[in-house]
Amino acid sequence: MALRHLPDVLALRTFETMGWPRRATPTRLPCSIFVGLALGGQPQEGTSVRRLFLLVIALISLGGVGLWATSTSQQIKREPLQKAKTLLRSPEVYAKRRHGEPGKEVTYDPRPKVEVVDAKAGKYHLKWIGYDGKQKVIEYQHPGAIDIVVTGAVEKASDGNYTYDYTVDILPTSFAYLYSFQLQNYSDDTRPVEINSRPTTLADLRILKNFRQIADDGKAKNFENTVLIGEMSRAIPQFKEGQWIAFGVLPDFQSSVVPGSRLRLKLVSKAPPGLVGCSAAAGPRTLQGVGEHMPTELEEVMPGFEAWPSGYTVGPVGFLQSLSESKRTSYILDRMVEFEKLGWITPSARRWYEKTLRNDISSAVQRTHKDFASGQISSEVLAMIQAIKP
Amino acid sequence: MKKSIIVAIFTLSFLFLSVPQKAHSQSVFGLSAVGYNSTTREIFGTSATWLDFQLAWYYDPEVLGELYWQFNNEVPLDSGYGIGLSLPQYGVLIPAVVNLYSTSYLPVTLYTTYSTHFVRSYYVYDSCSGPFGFFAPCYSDPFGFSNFFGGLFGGPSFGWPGFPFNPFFFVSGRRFTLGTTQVSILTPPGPFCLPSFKSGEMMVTADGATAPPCPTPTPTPTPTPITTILEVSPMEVTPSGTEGAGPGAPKTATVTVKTQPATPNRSVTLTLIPIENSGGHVDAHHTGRRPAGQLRKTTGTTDASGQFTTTYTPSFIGGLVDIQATVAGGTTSGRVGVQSRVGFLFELQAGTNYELIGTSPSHPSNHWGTQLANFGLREIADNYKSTFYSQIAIPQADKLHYNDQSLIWGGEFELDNDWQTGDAHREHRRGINCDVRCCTTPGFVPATRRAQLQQIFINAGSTDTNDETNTSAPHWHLRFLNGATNVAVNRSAGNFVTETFSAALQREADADEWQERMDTFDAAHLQGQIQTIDAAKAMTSALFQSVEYLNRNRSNEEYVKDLYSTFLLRDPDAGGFLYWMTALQNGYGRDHVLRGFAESTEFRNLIIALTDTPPPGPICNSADEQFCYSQGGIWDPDNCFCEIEPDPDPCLNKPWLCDIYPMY
Repeated sequence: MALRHLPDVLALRTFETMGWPRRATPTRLPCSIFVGLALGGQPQEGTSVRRLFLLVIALISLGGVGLWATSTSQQIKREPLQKAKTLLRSPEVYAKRRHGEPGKEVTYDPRPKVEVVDAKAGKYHLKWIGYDGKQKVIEYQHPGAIDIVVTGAVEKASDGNYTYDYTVDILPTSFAYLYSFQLQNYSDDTRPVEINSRPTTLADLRILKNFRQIADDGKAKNFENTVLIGEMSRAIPQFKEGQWIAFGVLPDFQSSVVPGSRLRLKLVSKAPPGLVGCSAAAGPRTLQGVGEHMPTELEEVMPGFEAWPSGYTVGPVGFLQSLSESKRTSYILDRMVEFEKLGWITPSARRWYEKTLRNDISSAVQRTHKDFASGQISSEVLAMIQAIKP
Repeated sequence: MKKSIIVAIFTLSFLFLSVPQKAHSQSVFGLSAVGYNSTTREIFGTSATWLDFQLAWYYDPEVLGELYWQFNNEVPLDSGYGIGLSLPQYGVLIPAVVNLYSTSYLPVTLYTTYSTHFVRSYYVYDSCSGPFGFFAPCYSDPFGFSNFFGGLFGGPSFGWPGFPFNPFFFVSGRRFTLGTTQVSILTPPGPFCLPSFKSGEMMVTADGATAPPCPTPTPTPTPTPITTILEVSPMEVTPSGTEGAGPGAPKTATVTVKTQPATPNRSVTLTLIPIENSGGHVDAHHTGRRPAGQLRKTTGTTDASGQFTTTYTPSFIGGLVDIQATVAGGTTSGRVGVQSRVGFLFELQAGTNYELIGTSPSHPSNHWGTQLANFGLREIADNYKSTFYSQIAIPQADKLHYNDQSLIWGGEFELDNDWQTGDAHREHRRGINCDVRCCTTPGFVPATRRAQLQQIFINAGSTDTNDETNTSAPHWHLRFLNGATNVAVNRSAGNFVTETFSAALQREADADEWQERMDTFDAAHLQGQIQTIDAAKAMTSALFQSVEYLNRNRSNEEYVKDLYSTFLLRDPDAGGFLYWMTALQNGYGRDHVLRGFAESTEFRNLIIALTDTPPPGPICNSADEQFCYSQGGIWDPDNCFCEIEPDPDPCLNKPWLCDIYPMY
């Protein structure tokens, strides 16, 4: 039997691990409460109740002071891209295979199965018995075996263009190299201009629909050995909104995007900053074939794009240009909860900006640099609030 | 004197006695009858003549019957002549009867049956012999209806030597009219309608009265034949092995046979008829028999409501299969076609930057895919061209060459054109795959471009492309999975039976074996989960106790492996295998090991998880349930789970907490 008596954060996590249905939202208690209650438990023999009471009060007070102190000195902490939990499991039902000459056909059990090589690293073996009677093995790398933190910063140039500067940190906790990184935008003029400080040419942008018809301005500098700049198909549900520029890592560049390394990307657009999506995938993403297709049932256990780590950053959002100042403010306010979840703004700062943006936009805009410097807001929030008054 | 008187008396008496007696008729009966039915507007009459037993020795009855009405006594409405048959020696006395009939019914009209009664004498050979024969006339009409003068007089001579004159009289089939009988009836005034000659026309009776036309007489109902109606729902199912065609895509169809009028206890026979050249396969270029799928029951009996229901499971081949039903004593239903297909596949049209290849006489159209796949393939070709040829047109030989995607209705795509054998190409079933040529011209992709092309593949939606470029059949196997989550594959009782047969006996169950086991499953299913598990245990165990299995002479090692693959449908794990092998080596019998598998939790869970067994549900511990209630929780019996709702307003009960920590 499972007894869920809330609040109990630890117990709830245990249930999640076990795959129990989650039906209620846990209520978090501050750590100091647990400490206080623990200390204020069963009194020792001979200890006066009054002393104990005072001790408990004192400890609770200290905890409260501590919490206040934490809240004022609290700083943002960006969340890494979120990963859906997709585990590969052996197919339970599968068809027998038949092969051979007509009249001499042989039915056999291909025994397709998924073998976990390293669950944390997302490495699996897809195994089955081939038509030649030998076991076939294909190595599979889960796309989510990578921890990515994306930092987006925006600068506005005198010509009115915004430069979007992204730092893609491949955390050391990752288990694979970065195979591809995708950035969403809502502006046709969005142009990747730099990859790890190496400028792009129009030749590098040939695949992007908005640049396909422009004559090349020189030899491609990236697509042969660094990154292929492509565009995710809008037919893919996860990439159907806006445009998604894909930075696909080519073999020669793989060593530059291993765990612990950093990828720098720059885009330029006239569109002001807004909230956009981003996603990444661990590599490799191409399976090495073994001379015959794996059974359909085994093919179907592999997840699709939903298993790619994804999150948000700041990026060109063209329609913000046409909005009034108040609408742009509403755009920010509507996303404040999301900003906090992403670790872009502290709770206290969020409350302040929510209040101030409604009454005094100028004051809010003026304070952003100070809060950014003190770690209360991120560069993404800074850019978006600044863009309210361009 | 006295003596002569006495002699005279005796002589006269003798003569009197010797003379053939003119025996009088016993009885001849004549009958005339007439009647009417004013509702159906019909007139009936009967004329009959019959004889009693004595008379029947000599005569047959005959009768002439005539039916007249008052408006015409010359031409009868109906007439007939009847002849009876008299064979008294055999007890046969058949009267002569004429039944008269007319639809010329009119109200207030006199109808008469007029009968003329006859008898017809037999052929008579009457010899008047004896010393007084010459003087004693012989009558062939012994009952006096007539006399012999109507007959012939003859004889061989007027006396044989030594014999007196010995004549004979001959009467041949003479008909004697006995007389007539008649009877009349007057029809009543009603009904006040007349047979119409024209719909709705007012009619005038013979006596000048008017009457509305009579309703058309209701014809006598003829027995209605049983009509067989076949219903199949849904009429589109996904081929086996394409569970990933989409959530909710039906895998089976319900087949219902109805009788009209509803007729219970009629035997029903169902037939599957695979339709040639459907589903993208051209039958003439295939060998073997096109799979038709499987009916859960091919025969059965209509229930109390006159219906019979079963389930159809399609084969792994896409195509059209007709189902037809026949009910005993009823008609054969029309054919109902079931489409076994993966829905929403579209044909990839020719494009500027790619070539479509791989059509064959057996599969003339091989580029059917999902929208994502087709869209992705076009994007891949365009992006490949843009990357390596910029704005210059791509040479024909350099274009990407797209080989097989799927067939028009999906399902297995067999390359060797044999329905039964299958081959290494059977995975292109639901429109998400495409094979791209890599390594031969035309369509050759240089090695320096392949890393970029693989990025292009994935950008266009091909997750986890299978790179087969270094194999004997070099190509890229693309898969446009469209972000689908892992497909939950379901196993039905039918799957289970098939798999266990294959695992234990290395063959498929024949139709009877399969049916028998499914019937057992059905019966157990009706009783509940425990009974279903027991039935599965018994059925699966029986495979190992069969002569067929014993004849396989399996070693202990093979036996344990067979138990794993039959009961648990998987390979043995190392620990488990060792455990059971040790048990066998330590003297535990094979039955003991078999029981271990049959009673295992894994086997039980496998049976519970079958899609058509009773809904899975763990049997919860009642103590846990009681404890849950004691804590004020809500007990979820489906998951054996106790949920205690959080306090919706913690500040209400703990104001001190909210004072210190405003976040509450």
